[in-house]
Parts: sequence; C-alpha cells; structure tokens
Amino acid sequence: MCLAIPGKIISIKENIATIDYGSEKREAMIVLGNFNKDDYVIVQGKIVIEKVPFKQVEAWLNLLKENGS
Amino acid sequence: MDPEIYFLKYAFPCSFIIKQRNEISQSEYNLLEESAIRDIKLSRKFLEKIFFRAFERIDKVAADLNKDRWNLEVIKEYFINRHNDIIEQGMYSYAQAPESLKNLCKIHTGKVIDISREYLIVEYEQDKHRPVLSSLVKKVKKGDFVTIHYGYAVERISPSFQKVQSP
Repeated sequence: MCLAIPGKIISIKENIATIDYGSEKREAMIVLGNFNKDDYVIVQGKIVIEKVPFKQVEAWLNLLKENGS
Repeated sequence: MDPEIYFLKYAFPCSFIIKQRNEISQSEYNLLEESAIRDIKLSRKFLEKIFFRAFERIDKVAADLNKDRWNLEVIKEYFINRHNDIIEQGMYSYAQAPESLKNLCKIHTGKVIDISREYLIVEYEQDKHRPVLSSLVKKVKKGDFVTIHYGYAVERISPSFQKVQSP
C-alpha cells in the first residue's frame, strides 16, 4: 500500500525511518541518500524514494485533495 | 507487447496519486498493481475510465499520428516523448504542481548502477539517483538502461535510446 502524500520522518534507526502521516505512522527503508529527522519524504513500496522540500509540502497536499483536477 | 499491458506499466506508478484522491478504491488499486506486475491484460474500458486524463492527452497524439488511441506507437509516443513536455509546460493539473512532484511524474531514462532483490538504484541525468522498485521489469542487470516513473522502473530500453534522449 502506498501513500502519495509527503510524510515527516520522526525517527531513523539504522536504515529504517518511521514516518508520520498525521493519521498514521509507517516504516520505510532508506536505501540511498541522506535523510534526517523532520525531513518530508515520498515513499513507494516501503522505500523512501525522494525528499520533498518543506516549502513544497503544502502544494503537494493541496494537489492531492479529493476531487482535484 | 499488448498495448493494454504496455499502457498499464507506464500508467500504474501514478495510480497511487489517483488512489490518494479517492478516485479509485483499494481493491481497484490492488488489481492495477497485480496486473502491472504480472503482465495481465485489463479491459480497455476499465483503463480508459481510471486513466481518463491520460487518454485525453493520448487522443491528441493519436490525432497527430492519424492512428487509434490504442495503437502501441501512439501510446509509446505519449509516454516517451510528450508526457514530460506536458508536465514541463505546466499544462492541466501540473500548473499547481511543486517541482518535486513534477520530477517524480516525469518519465526519466537512466542507467541501473546497483541492484537488490526489491529495488534498483538508477542514475538518471548527471548525479541524480533514485531508488526504484523493480517489480514491473523483468531480468534487469546492472548497467542496463531503464525508464523510471515515480518509484518504479518501467521498461528496459536500449543504450542507443538513452543517447538519443540525452545528447
């Protein structure tokens, strides 16, 4: 199951990040790149694929609202 | 490859966005995922309903090439050559899309530089790397060139194609 919205990393233990999506928390594996606590990321298939700059998070959330164009 | 299967491989990676907008159910999402991974041919009607936005754009390509929307050449032309321009020009819903989302939406071509059981590391443009799931492509080796869309490798392509794309 994939969540399309950016989630916030709340902890990293070895290469496993715990990511907060507001309504729920998920774990995902960091396989490449430098990620820190409080970074917003996109996860696909339990792998962290990209970082989302904080300034872009709101635009992501607006775009992914139900019934978007 | 059947055009339905080819289309779904490219379109499936963005269906988690459609799911997020509650346009499809979890079971529809699961069906799309399983079909994309296992090369299962879904009905044209079902795919056209879910990915109606893509077909609005594919129809323009079909008109240009004077071919049907389900012609494989039309679908390839759309995903490989036109899709990124539409995003870059900020057409449709991409007008409000942040850069990081647009970059994930684009179809990049790149080289597989590392490989594990579940994912590949792909270098797509100079010094840009992304881990992508390998479930949609079969028999990929280190050094192969692939197209990527969101968090998935989609198709293995020839190195000459890569040269054409990034001179």
